[in-house]
Amino acid sequence: MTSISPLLAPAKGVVSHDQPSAASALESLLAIRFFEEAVDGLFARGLMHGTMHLSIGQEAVATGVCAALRKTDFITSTHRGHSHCIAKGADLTRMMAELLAKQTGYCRGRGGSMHIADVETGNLGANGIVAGGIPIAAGAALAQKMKGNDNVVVSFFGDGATNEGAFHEAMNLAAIWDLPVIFVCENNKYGMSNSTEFSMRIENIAERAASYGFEGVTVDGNDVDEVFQAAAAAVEKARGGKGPTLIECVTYRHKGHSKSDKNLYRTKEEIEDWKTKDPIGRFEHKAIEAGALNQDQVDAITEKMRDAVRTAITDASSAPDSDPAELLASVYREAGK
Amino acid sequence: MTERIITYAEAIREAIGQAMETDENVFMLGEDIGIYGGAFGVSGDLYQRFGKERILDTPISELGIVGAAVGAALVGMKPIVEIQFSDFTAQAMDQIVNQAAKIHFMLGGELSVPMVLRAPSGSGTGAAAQHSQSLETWFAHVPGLKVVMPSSPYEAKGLLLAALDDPNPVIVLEHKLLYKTSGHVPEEQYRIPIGTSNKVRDGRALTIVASGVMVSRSLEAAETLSGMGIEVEVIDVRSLSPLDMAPINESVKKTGKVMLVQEAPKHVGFMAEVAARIAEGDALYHLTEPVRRLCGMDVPIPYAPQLEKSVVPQLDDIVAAAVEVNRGI
Amino acid sequence: MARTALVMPKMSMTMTEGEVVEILVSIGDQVTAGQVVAVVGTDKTDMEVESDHSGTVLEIPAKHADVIEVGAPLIVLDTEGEDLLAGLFGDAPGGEAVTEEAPVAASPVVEEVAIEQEPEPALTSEVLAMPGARKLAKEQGIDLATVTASSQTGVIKQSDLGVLAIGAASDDKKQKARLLTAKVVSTALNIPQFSLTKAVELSNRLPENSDSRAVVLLSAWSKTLEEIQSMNQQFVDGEFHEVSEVRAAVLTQTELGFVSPVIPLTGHWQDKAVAVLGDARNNKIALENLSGATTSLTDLSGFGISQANTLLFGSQSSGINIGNISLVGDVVTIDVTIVLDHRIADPGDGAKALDLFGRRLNEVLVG
Repeated sequence: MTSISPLLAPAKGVVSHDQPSAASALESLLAIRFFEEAVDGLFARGLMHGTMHLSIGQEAVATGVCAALRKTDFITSTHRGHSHCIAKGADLTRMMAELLAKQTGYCRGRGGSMHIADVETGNLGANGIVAGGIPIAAGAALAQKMKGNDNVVVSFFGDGATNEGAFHEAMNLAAIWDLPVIFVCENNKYGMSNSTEFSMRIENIAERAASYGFEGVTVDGNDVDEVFQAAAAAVEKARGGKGPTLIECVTYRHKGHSKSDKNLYRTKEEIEDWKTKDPIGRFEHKAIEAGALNQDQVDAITEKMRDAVRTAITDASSAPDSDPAELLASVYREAGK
Repeated sequence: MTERIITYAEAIREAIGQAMETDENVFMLGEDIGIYGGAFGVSGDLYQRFGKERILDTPISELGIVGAAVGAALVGMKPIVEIQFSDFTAQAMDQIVNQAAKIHFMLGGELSVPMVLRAPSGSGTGAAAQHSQSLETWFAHVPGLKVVMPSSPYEAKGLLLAALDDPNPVIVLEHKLLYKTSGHVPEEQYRIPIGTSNKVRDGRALTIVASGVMVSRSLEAAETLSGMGIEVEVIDVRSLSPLDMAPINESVKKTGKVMLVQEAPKHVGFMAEVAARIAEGDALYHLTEPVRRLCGMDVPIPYAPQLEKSVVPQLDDIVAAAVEVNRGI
Repeated sequence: MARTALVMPKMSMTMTEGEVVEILVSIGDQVTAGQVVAVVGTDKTDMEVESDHSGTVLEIPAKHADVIEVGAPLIVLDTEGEDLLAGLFGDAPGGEAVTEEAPVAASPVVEEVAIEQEPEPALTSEVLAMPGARKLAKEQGIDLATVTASSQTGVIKQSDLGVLAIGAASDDKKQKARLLTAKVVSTALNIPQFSLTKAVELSNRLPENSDSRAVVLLSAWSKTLEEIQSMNQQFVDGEFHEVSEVRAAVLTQTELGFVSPVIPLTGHWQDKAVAVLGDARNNKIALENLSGATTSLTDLSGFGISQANTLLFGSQSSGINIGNISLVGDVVTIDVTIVLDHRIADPGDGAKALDLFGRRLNEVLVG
């Protein structure tokens, strides 16, 4: 069992200014980064099956948003979902086991990279269908409202999903029913190879909220503090029964869309330029500047998360392979369970 | 004691009402199910009885409302979605097929989607090609969904209450022509097990297998045939997924002749599966005549009444085909 | 400092190996993370390989035009930081290349196999038959091409195999039926058989009712077979088998002619036998009563026949035929002919069986 420490909302309101929350945010950022670099390396060496979508460069979004959530709050995630799972507190070993097709994986080897769910941490599932999780988030939020509790639901999705009907239907339902849901758009500028300049006529995706009658905000998605502040405000509003918010986090993926991407649709210069805005370096710098962390602490956290990911790989590798014998009996849940 | 007679629509409403009284997690959502009372009058006065929070009127937004039902079911609610016409499930297919059906299996078994999706199905109302289809095979082909087609008021109540007990997504396809038909329905709650087929008439001459409205139509045909000295056995495939072949095989072994009746187009229809399963088992060796399918034509449902009737098996078609099968090759 | 291998990357879901198109660095060069150090080719396109790390080039195991498995080293660097995955998969801490074997498809093993000449497939499509009839024909060793269908469409059904119509049917049907009978019994040519006849004296009369008579005769005959163990065998596929269940084909007259339902003679079979014979007279024979006879009963006593020599065919190893019944004073005499498979019994056994049958029949009639 290796997962990040619970993400902490900062006492001072700014993550990078507060020692405990800065430390937990850095753990989250680095756990995501190392996990995905390890996955990338395993794939390159032919040790990992299938395909996967890496969020290297986008870690601040999941980290900042999840810092504003409680354990009892829910999320829905996407095909590019490792960051959301980890930031919400998933066990790195069970995630790695799933990607390595092991019986001990979150989905017992049936889902793989795109389908990790974790009941324990309120993760209702990553989703292989673009925008597939958005109406589900609205439904989970409807249930919270009907049950009369103040849990909220966050739906993560990309820029591409906002052109899907499911996004618009879910936004409308959330608006008319004042649902406690926060729509978090990770605008990494490309839906596979399709840039947002090509796929939409608006400047900011946040503008789309206006047509449903609620607030939309655009933030720097590579800045944990900005993301956290927007998320915390939206969460407070949702818990108070004041309905949904759309948060557009502008960010960038350093790697290709998936493993078969040759990056033909974007320039090396653009990728290099975004690498200089890397969210992890920026956060470390801010935390050290603010005196919340010193270099030794940063190094220690780096070492700790590196070890955590390496341990996850070792532990997951030694688990038994997933078992075909149970497949047929796993399609339906048995009554009474 | 006289039997209580109510309609198919009333039986469904009664099941929903009783489930909502018993379990506070049960709620209903759909288009025009509130003050309007539902496009086919099924929800009726439930809105007055349970209020707008639990009889949740939605915008015209099938994908959104099925998705919302999936999400609510994931976190412990028991939603009943009404899709106004089964044809409109096409709008919501991602949530039904890629989400609801897969979640339990794909996500490793901890989560499940205990959702019930009800939809009026079938032709006979002059509503033409986009409001009259029989799409049961779409759903039955997807592992993870359960599919039932109640053939009478009694079946409608018992299958719906069983569907609400089921921890999996269940698609309930109700036939529009049955809503106003009446029959005996006990007032108390009872469940009809999903995954069973039901012999509804005994006979030695031949076996008729049918679902939904084709069951009552076949029973009517059976009376005419009886007058001609032909006693047919009728099996109601009330549950398409999971499918219970035992009563069908048993009957085929007894009669040696089988006719499979469905309203949906013949090509790749559900009864093709039944025929294949008969052929795969030892019932095949008891057949004295080839399997006969009596199905809808492979065309969209047309508007004009004479056209609509001509593409879907009617009473006379069933009688004529049964006589032929009985006479043999 | 650590040795870190840059490996042939897997760049698509199906890639297992790649070709080295160009190595862009030399030993001793300084490289930085993200720098393009090589170009490799896949089946689809050429792709640049970037270094994951900064460091100095120590070795270049790959050279132009090499085809290298995914995961095998291209370039080895001396790096400042250690590779995240170093040491996890059997590679030495020093970074001696990655030793984990990349998954490689097993090379096909070609075995020489002597190809046996397949027998010519039977042209089943020329004969129209329901699957149940095909199964029954196979069980009885009947060639369907020799069977005539009773239906207009020419499709053979189970009932076409069960009916041996030699009775009151139309001439045309009789003709067809005779042909069928001839074909069915042609399997008898494979069985070396002989018959013995004896007049058996009875102290009581046999029942008038043919079904009751059949039950009495079968009772005596089954006791006979049980007692003479050596006779209760079958010769099938070149081997002797003990008969586990005695099953008798009983010739029965119907409106359409004669049929031979098969009755198992085990347990309390008597009541069932009467029901089966009754159904058979109405041309209803259940599938389980259509085949698998090990013996037969042919009672032609009502036809003024003095002696009948039926033939054994299919899985039968014995048969008993009843001819004339005569009454002189109180003594009833019946002509009994038994037919036996010579591989199982000799005439001595036959004589013993006839004698025993007479005694058992008398006991049954008294009991």
